[in-house]
Amino acid sequence: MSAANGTQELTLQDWLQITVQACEELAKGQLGCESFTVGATATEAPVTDVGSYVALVGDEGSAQIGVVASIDGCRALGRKMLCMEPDEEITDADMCDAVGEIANILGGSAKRLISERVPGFKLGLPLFMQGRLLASDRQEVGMVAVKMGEIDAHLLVVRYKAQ
Amino acid sequence: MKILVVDDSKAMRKIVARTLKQAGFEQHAVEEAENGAQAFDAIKAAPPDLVLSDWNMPEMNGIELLQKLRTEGNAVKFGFVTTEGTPEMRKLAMDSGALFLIAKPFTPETFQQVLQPVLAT
Repeated sequence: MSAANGTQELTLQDWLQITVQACEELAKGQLGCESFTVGATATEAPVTDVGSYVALVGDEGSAQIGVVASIDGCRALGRKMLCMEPDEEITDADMCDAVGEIANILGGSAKRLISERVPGFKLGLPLFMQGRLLASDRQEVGMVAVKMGEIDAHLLVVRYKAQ
Repeated sequence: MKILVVDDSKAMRKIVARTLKQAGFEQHAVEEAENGAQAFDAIKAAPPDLVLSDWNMPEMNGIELLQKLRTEGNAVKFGFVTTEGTPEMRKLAMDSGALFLIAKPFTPETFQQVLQPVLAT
């Protein structure tokens, strides 16, 4: 569907594809993961997952992009981000900060990837959360399972439906 | 030389400092600030040779910091290390007086390529 100004409206599938592409760039680049695989899609992540979300807000639609995993998965992602040893102790504060930066980088990369198609998105600041995401009827949620090296995680997109 | 790293994320400040070392700039002293306001005070108190700043930060963001410095006539070398890599953001950064914009995710090779000419002058 085309939006009023002629730009192409982004579907939930578009958002998920862009987020996966951004995550692969990050995983193989800065995180130094030897492999990146994409698994199943769903409409929600496991309730035990925790992780970080960042908002992308635009005139033609808005979304929240999240990266979530088990608490051990988030600790492993945090260690990867900080180049720590796999068995090194990581504090909760450092884990939240590092996983928040992963969400931030995913948001920034997604913004760059969509900017030619839909310009003008603004990026928010990341927020680490624990708990089940409940969507309203104005929102739709998509999730993709990914494996970054040996770390299982889920990428989530909450898309605000067009008015 | 002294490099001031400005980022609200402690993790990212560590990563930038580590990447500077990996890129071969380990001889430079690295100092940190958590936001633009803190960085502005630090630059006024003891000017660094280069500022590496995030864009999105609470209190005072990176572009506000740069614009405030230039408005006051401060010509400190300034570059962004940020998730904001769109052409519009790059143009705004350069028009405001930044020397470069390194988009996250980055590699030591990117740091070396971009910072070598800046730190050599």
